[in-house]
Amino acid sequence: MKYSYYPGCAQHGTAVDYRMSVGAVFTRLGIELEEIKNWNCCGVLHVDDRTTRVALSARTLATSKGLDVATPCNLCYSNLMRARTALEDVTLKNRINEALKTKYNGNTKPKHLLEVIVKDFGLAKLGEQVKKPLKIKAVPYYGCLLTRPGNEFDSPENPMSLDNLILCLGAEPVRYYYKTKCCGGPILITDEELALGLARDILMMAKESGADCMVVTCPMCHLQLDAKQKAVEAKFNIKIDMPIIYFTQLIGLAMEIPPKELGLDKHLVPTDKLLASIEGGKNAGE
Amino acid sequence: MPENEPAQKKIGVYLCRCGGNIGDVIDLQAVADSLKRENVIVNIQDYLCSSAGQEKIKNDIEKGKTDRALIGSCSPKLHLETFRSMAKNAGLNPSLLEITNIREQASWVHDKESKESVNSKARGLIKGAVARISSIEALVPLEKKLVDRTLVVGGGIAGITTALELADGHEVMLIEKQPYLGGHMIGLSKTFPTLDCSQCILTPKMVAVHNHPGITMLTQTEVADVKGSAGDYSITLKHSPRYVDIKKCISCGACARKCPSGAIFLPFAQAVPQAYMIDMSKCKNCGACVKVCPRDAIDLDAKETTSSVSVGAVAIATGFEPINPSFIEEYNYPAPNLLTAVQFEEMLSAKSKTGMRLQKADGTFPDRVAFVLCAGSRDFTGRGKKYCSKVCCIYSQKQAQLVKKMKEDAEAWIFYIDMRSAGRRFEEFYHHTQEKGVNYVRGKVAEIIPQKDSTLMVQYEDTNLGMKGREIFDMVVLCPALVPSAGTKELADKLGVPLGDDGFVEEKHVKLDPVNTLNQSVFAAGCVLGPKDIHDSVTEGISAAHKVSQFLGKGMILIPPEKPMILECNGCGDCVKACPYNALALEGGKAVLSPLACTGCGVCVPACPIKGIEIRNFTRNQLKTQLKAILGEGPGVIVFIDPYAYAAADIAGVNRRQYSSLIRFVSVPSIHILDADVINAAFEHGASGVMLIEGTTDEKLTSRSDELYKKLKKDTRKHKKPLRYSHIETAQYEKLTDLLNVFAAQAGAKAEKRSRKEQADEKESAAE
Amino acid sequence: MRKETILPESKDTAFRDLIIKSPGGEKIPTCMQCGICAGSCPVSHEMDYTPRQLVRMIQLGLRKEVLNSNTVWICTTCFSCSVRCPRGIHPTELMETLKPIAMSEGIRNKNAKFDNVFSDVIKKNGRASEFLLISKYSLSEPGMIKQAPFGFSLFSKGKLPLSVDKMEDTGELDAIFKLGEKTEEKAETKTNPGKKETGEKENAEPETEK
Repeated sequence: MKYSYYPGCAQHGTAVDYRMSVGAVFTRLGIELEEIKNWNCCGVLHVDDRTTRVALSARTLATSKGLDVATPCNLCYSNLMRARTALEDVTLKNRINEALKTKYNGNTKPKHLLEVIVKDFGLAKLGEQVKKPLKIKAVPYYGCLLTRPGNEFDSPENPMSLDNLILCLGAEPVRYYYKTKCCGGPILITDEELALGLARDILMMAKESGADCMVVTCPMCHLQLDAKQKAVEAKFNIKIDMPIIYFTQLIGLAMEIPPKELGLDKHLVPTDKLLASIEGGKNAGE
Repeated sequence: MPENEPAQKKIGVYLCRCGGNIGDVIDLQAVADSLKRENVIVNIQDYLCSSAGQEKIKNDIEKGKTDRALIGSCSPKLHLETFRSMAKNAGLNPSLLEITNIREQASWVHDKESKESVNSKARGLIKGAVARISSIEALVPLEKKLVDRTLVVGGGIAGITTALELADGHEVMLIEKQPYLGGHMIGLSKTFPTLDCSQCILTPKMVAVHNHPGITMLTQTEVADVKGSAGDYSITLKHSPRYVDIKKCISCGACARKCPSGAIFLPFAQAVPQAYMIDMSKCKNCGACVKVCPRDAIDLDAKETTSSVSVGAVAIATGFEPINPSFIEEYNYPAPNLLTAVQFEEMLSAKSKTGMRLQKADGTFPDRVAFVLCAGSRDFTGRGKKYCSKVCCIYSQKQAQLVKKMKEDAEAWIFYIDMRSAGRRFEEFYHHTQEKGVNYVRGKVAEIIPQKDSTLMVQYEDTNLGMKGREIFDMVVLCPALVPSAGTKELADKLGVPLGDDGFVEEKHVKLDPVNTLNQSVFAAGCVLGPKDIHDSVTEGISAAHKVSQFLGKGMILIPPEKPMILECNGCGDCVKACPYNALALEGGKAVLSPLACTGCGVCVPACPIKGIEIRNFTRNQLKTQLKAILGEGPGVIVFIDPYAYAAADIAGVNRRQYSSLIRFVSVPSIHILDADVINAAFEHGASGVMLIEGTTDEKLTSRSDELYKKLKKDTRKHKKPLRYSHIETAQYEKLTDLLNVFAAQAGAKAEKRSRKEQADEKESAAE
Repeated sequence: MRKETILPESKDTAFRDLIIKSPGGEKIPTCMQCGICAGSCPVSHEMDYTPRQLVRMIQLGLRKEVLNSNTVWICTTCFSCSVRCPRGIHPTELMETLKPIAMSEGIRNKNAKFDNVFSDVIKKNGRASEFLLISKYSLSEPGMIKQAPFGFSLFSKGKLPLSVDKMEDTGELDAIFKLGEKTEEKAETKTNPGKKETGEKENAEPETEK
């Protein structure tokens, strides 16, 4: 299995832990991710001109050497998906192609890494790689842009792929009604107070569910829920202490990859307790 | 042959402006002028359907100016019968009056096209029709005796009313899928706007059905198969087993007291028929009930059985069901204390399992109840239903009143988009509900999130304030879109009754024939025609009974006389083998037709190897004459269309769905009468493409369509012009117009390519 | 914002038509004002006009109110409204249509400023580096200094590299960003250029303290 890999800007910055775990897990699973040479930012939600933003993603899809484009980031994924739909408009496509060296032809599909694992690689095969079933309770948190405005891969309101992945790793996905609610990430810098309020709701509901950790699929969600968790606690005078784990880290733990190799020491919310309970779970299992 | 008759025919062409509906778009005077050479008289009127318009035609006929009348107006579905009965009164054989549709098929659907293209189309259609009417023969409809028995399908309030209203004069069989009568109404609590108890007003009617000597009532029964034709159906019924003989059971309950698994039960105290039944998923087959039954009424080995009934008319009253709201994922249905309105009603009805107490999952009374309207309705994204389910605004207010009545300090909130309380006594009901202290919020509920303590969080915008809100409720009641009950489509297909694109039975006319269907011997009443309340269902039940009675009262049904005629026969028997309805047989080495068994499908026409069979008034020559005249007014795409698909084109017209003006419909009783002769003639006369559009759901025909299409394609290949087949049911008018546009574009492009090539060839040959 | 009387002259039909013709705008005339968009919106309580009201204002062509509203800048682009709208309207797309129009009319709030900083960085480097973005944005928003400890905590975990991430070859970026300039020009000429009522105001500030 081979994909063109579009890491997105966060992988070179705040999501170093995500990058480490993607590397560790995908190599071991034998899924080849060939990073697109000279890739560009997708424009996130801040390049306001629509045509420019579509063009940024068109360039990404065009330079993938005919391979499907795998990306770890919900924002990148959403931009690529939306660009693909927008580019069905031939006039727009032609206009954008004038600006591109490698022309966009619509032959490559964007795929989120979660889709690559759950759908292409398959949970049955992944299950065979599980060495240490994780006897923990985990909150599946998809965020908004993985499943909206819509893809063929999962439902926009109540997706189940991450739930199923968690189950496959021997953990228990809790019923979590906030699984696709907005974490506030996109307005973190400009409207921090508002953003923290959204994060609070999501974290509190997770806490209430009695889960050991929250599993995320997006560096923006991680930044907001992990790095900003302390700020949420301080602002609203509450205690949350909820480890936020990338789904790739969770897979890695079930495959007994050393936590350090997965970047788990780089989180701002400590993961020691979680790791201990996973260890405990293993002992209990034996 | 009749079309070769030499006698000079006096054809009158009557064109209708239809106010401006036709006249503003089509230059009718130009159409009239183009007919000058045809030796016909032409007359243009503002409204032909008016008495003045009809009087003109009648006069012409009576004075001998006209002996064949062609009308260019709206769809024949609307007024053909009116005009033909006028013709009959004036002394003209009705079959010699025809209508060409220049409204739904021309003036309403080509807004985007040039005026000239629409005009040339109209001229072509009229000229084709003139050619046709001069070629046809006067036919007399066949008469068939009606079976004076009616099958009413569905034992809810609409079916019960139809049956009771009908049964004093006609024999009725009432069948119901459930083990008891009463449909949804028996599962209702109080009824709006008077708050009288549903079972109190319904039970006497159910008992009356049970006791009426003219009504045979069968529960747990469905239609399995329909044979025969209008007025004379043989219907196979399927009865699922109850395991208890209804006639023997005296409801003593001895069985239920002995049953160790609670599998045998009376559906509810007032159920009609009063008899126990067994839920086999619970039954352990121990036989205790069999032994204890004093009447020997129980048979644990009962199997599904079938029976057959012959009927002259069918009334469909199969009603509705609530849509399952689980597809509205943001509402998180099902969850504890999150119910549908139907579940809410049942809790307070004869069918109650809580002793008619409103209670939460934990058995206590809900202190805060929310009613969420439009759950799955008014949705144009394809996720829900487009239409408004009509009754929810009022019944939710009734339910809110019940909550307040049961506990005065309980809160009841109604979340609505538009409070629709049109109808006698309904606005007063709304006002009264407000007085009771029910809280109204104008805003569609955005999400419902179940909480840990089994309460429910409802999030919404109060649109009157422009403020977002969140409330916690003990119980939330979803008012789901009401959809036709499961199996409606299958039943309608068996009976040859088209459905609308919303899945409800299509009325013969939306306004003027509301309980007739497009099948003259099939009628409908109640929610199978669209969501409605008890009052309206009863009204329709009474109407349907009247219409059935009127229909059966004639004793005879007229059968269209357009049947095959066997002109030449070598006794090969191919047509006999081909006929799907066993209407042909070999007698004395020759094929003979039983006209009453024949549906006029025309499968026999292309089947005859010596071309010895023709359908009356749809002979090869008649069709060719019509095609030549249509295409004489400029090239077009010929679309042969059967009556069911024709109805789809009518709906497209009414909805002003635009399509290419190249499309020329040629109405045929069935596409199966066509062979390569006719298609080739269309191509030879200049058609740039030919389509066959079939709307019938009769599998005996549709199963042959693919083969027919392949054969025609092969036999018309030499023209290198596009030929397409498509199946379009009446409801699929949007698909129809999309298809017409795509095909017209393809045919046009192909024709252009061909003419460029020809020009190039000419140049080449000129150069040589 | 003070509300005004709707008068015949407050309606700009050219503006309305432009929005309706833009991607995702064609269903706007069918809005039935059910409010599911605003009810679904995680941040509508901070908006001066809810998405529903914004759609209504567009139906009427209330250009000034629409372009001065803070709604488009508060939207987190979560698409909850878009997937739930029973009429198939895409309020999220609508926000994206309105942003560049508002900016070309001179709206400069902190969100617009951030978007400008972001676009400039991408146009130059092709990639976003958090440190660079934040420092540039801080120049115009001094309040950002409060974020320094947060930045430091990320830095200490190796999550905030101080180096600038850049494409190896930024050759195509100019052409790509030119596409946008053309679009903006087009939008401006179409929306009644004579009417510049919005002006340069800091009027899209969300009211966080009440």
